[in-house]
Amino acid sequence: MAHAHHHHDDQAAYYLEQLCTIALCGALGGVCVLLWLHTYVWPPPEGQFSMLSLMLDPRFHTAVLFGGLGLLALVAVRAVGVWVESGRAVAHTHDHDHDHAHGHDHGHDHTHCDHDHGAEGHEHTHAHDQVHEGEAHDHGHEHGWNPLRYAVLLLPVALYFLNVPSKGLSFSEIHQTLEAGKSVAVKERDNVLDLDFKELKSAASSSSMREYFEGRTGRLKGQYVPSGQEKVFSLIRLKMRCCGADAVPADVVILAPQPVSGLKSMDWVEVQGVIQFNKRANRNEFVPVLQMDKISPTAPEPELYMQ
Amino acid sequence: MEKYVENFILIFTSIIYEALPFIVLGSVTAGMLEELVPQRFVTRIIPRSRALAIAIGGLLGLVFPMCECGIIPVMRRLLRKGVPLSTCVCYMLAGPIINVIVMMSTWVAFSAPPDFNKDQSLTVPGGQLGSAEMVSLRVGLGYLVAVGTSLIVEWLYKRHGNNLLLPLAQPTAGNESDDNGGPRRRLSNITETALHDFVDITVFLILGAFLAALSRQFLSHSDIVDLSMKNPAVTILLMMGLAILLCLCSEADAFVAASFTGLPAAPKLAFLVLGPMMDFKLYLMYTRIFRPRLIWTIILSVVVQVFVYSLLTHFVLQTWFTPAADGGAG
Repeated sequence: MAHAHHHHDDQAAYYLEQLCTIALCGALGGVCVLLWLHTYVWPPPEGQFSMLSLMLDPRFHTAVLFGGLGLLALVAVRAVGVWVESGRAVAHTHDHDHDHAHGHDHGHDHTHCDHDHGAEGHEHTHAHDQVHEGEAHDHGHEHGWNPLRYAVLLLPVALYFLNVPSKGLSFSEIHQTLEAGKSVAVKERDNVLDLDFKELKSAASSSSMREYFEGRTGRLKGQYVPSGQEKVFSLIRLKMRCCGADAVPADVVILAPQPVSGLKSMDWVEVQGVIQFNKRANRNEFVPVLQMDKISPTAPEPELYMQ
Repeated sequence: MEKYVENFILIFTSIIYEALPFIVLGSVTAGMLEELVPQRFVTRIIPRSRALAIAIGGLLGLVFPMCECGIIPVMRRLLRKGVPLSTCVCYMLAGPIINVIVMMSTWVAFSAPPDFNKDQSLTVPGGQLGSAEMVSLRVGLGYLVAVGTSLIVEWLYKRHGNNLLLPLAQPTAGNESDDNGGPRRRLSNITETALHDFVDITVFLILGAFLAALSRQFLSHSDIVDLSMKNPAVTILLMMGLAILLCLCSEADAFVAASFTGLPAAPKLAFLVLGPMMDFKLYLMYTRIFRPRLIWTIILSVVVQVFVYSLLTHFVLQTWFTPAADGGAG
């Protein structure tokens, strides 16, 4: 019977779509929860960073967890709904095939409604794809099997299981063009300050702070990035406000007395040197600079990004 | 090459996971709106005056705070419930800016640390504003742009009607029934609508994130500052371009704008007002609701207005609010 065949094709597409939606949304929800668990419950070994902390600022971590749990809850309820619907549809299709042996057309697509189809001359006015029990309004859905949508949706799930991203943003080289600074008199060489990027960046924009720091000796820990010049490189910390899309390097320029060798870009190092501030060429901005005395490899900071 | 691929994947996935929880929230809200709010209730509470409806639409974010990703599925369901297109567009554009969460995050982002002794010699003309001024300007410009665009949309709607909308977003012709088969059936319907909307919108979020991550490989944060060359019009345009490129959530974008310490306030405002209204992912999400004619009208209106208002703001700030420089930078 042509009519019944048409019904079964649409029904198959509808259930295929529903099953794919449930599977993909469930997978995405599961990945969100796993991302959180691998950050807070099963954190990575020291010196490594969880995927979630590479991607997002901690303020968003709880939102990812709740987003994932919400998605899983939606999927669970929907799975039960589809299970019940499919059971009804199977029972109904048997009756339906029998009742429609006379060959009249109901003009609707799905067979999982349970109102009476037996009466001859009965007219349906549904303009939608799917009719629920007792309902006469449509939900504004497009049902139909569209594999491309699911292929796109699968992408973040696949990337998670391929364990990417596994590293923070990285840079091959950072070029800085600085104006020549005035010579700096060294102060209190034995008193070595423990510096951080935030403090130095903040000091660079304040004349009194620049005056305080200039000539003092400080120690700074960060990631090594070459500049293309032998005796100049940058020490950076990644700064992220929101997500990886806005992550930028906060950098301090290091002037080395000799070319530095044996380091790869993004290696963690500690540099000790005399602090100065040079004006960035063509910008109304000072850059902190260290005239390097010592450099040594070091362990990564516990947090990849600074706030 | 390997570094580029790694950086690309990091940016791509970070945009997705940042937006995803908000799309889940928006989809659940959309499902509840579809199932629980009767159309006749919606039509009863909308003011008859379209101008008043638009004006109220721009403030709806204060009652229903949503970011720009979550607001898309909600707006589509509101359209189907009979809320006028121009009111929905006003809510869609202003809602991600005029809501308490976003206003608070803007306030926090532009609050300078108490011990931060800013060097006056580094002050940019028309530059650093306090958090109260930034919040007020962001909200004010956002509202102006949203209302202006909605009035244009209303004019367009009078000429083209529902042809501006895709079938899924067109108002249902009052074919609702009060009998929805009990709570179990209602719950099933809510989850079906929510998951349908989630899939529909997330697919376009992923494509938008892909485009944004790709373009970030060619243009960076510091390139924008280098390219601005102190010309306010160019700086504003570049910051608008960056807003489209980065696809940031409106709840966090103020922190990114605040980090551009070398830029005047107006380009930052352009970034903060345009970002929640227009970016790669939003453009692709709009294609699930509007026809191209309406999408391009909205984009053109928003981009032109943001640029003009930001430029005017810059000149006003430069003329009346630039503090006297105290000593040279060198």
